[in-house]
Amino acid sequence: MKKIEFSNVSLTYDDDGTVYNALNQMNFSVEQGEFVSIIGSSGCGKSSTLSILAGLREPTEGQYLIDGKVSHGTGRNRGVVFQHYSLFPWMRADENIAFGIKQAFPETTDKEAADIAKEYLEKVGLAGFGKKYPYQLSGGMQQRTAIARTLAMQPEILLLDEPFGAIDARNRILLQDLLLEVLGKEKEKKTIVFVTHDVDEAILLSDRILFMDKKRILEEFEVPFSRPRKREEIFQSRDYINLRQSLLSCFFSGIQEKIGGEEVVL
Amino acid sequence: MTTAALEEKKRFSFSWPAVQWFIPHVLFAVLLALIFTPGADDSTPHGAFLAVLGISEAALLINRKSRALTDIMTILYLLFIAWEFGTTKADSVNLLLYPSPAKVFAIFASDWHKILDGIRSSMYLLGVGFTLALVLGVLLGILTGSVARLRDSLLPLAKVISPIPPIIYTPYAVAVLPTFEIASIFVIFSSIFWQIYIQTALSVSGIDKKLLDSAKTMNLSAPAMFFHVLWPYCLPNIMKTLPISVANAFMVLTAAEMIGATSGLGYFVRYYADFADYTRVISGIIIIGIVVSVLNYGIAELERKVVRWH
Ligand SMILES: Nc1ncnc2c1ncn2[C@@H]1O[C@H](COP(=O)(O)OP(=O)(O)OP(=O)(O)O)[C@@H](O)[C@H]1O
Ligand SMILES: [Mg+2]
Repeated sequence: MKKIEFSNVSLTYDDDGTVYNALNQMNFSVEQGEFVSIIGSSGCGKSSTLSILAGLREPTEGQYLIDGKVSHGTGRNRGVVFQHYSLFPWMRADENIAFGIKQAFPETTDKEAADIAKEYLEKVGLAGFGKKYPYQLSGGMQQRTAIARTLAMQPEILLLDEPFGAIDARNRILLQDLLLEVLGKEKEKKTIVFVTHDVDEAILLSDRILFMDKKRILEEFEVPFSRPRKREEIFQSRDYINLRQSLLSCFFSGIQEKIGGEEVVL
Repeated sequence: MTTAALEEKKRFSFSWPAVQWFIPHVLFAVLLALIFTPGADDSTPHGAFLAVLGISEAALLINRKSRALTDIMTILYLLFIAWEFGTTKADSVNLLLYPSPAKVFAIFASDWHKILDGIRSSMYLLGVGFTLALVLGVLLGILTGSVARLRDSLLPLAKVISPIPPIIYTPYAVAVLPTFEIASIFVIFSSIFWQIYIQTALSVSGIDKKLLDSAKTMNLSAPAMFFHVLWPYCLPNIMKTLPISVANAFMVLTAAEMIGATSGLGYFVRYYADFADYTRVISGIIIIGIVVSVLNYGIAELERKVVRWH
């Protein structure tokens, strides 16, 4: 069953008269429970796509469907984690999560919300850090908290815009594994759209990868690995090397066009 | 710098700290000696003045290691010595115009009831005006900051009106408004409102787009957006305007009280000035200074307590 469907979505930014067309007749769909990554070079429109999906912007043309129905605006069925500034600086880590819970489920008591917040902090490996304000946490810890808050609000769809983009290589690996682990423990399988620059990250995490360029989806790749996945096994397999090669050549053909289409021998 | 010069400097700065801690205590002893030598004003009871000195000396002894307090007390004792000496030991001083410290502090003991009433009355007006200004300033500020059309029309207007010092229209407000109470609340309100309103509107309109997006994707209700996002976002900026706003408001209030009140600290000072009772005028001024300092301290503490997230 199709959870998300983009149909001929175009987006034009209008900054006081300067018009910029960021998305052009974009089409793609995501199945229920599927983990889809969108990759593409900087400025190709990934964040724009996600902000439409999140309901922060309305398409200038076309429409998008969630559960087969045309969707407008933000909704409780979607949760978003951005690269930066997802947490409220004036709430402690546990308060951020509890606040999210109380917003999503207003009938929850403060005590219940606090308990659930604690539970989610433990899930993301931050037991004991609940009383810290965001400025007292590292970037990685802030992102863990943001993921915990979003999951605690129990959305059906999770939208992540380069959530690990500002994290160093080692912590990035930890966070990728953590994300997979936490998602595996959720009662219902989430539908996920994950935006990244990182080819390896996309392969490791997703069921399908959408390559975006020229303001639309240009190519799709199935990721042939079963779950649960082991990083070391995947990175040694033939399939991985081939998939990585194809993805990189997508990026590369884009570059080739930009520099004039001459043959470049690798 | 040559080695010799360095040596010299070291020796000089070395000899300094040991002495400095004794200076205020020596001055304290000098002051006591002055007080108990016969002079021009021996009829006034010294109890209140001695109590004030005793408390300062005790505070200094408790915080013996505080260099700032040591320096402050040194300066204060020097002032007291000059004051005591000038008014009681020097000849031909007009004691009516220049009352001795003992006289001024004795007022605190004899008139404490009136003084307390004055503080209460002033604080009441300040409290009401401040609360109104805070509530309306924040509500209207957030509204103005979040609606582009309001922001572009109201903020320029506010920027024209707000620099007019409320003290200028205080006499007019006292004359026009039905009661003095309403007039003074109005001028207090105007001296706080604009700062809070403009600061809030500017903060809200400059709020980080990412933070706002994050809040929107959480589907916050309007009250949650207001109380849990916009208000805490503006709070540190609002807190920064408070010390100046409250000091201004207090200034305007005491000025207003001097024009039309029948109670309050400003009234206390003006009333006795009319009777040329400058002893009470000076004690009133000292009380006002203390009240303003306590208010400022309270605001600083409040800021520390309320804004803990950076
Ligand atoms: N608010 C805006 N107003 C005008 N133009 C915008 C706005 N936001 C994005 N754009 C433009 O739209 C294009 C797509 O931006 P978008 O942020 O979607 O790219 P992206 O793929 O997420 O890039 P990155 O990988 O750098 O995050 C860019 O050229 C950008 O300059
Ligand atoms: Mg982006």
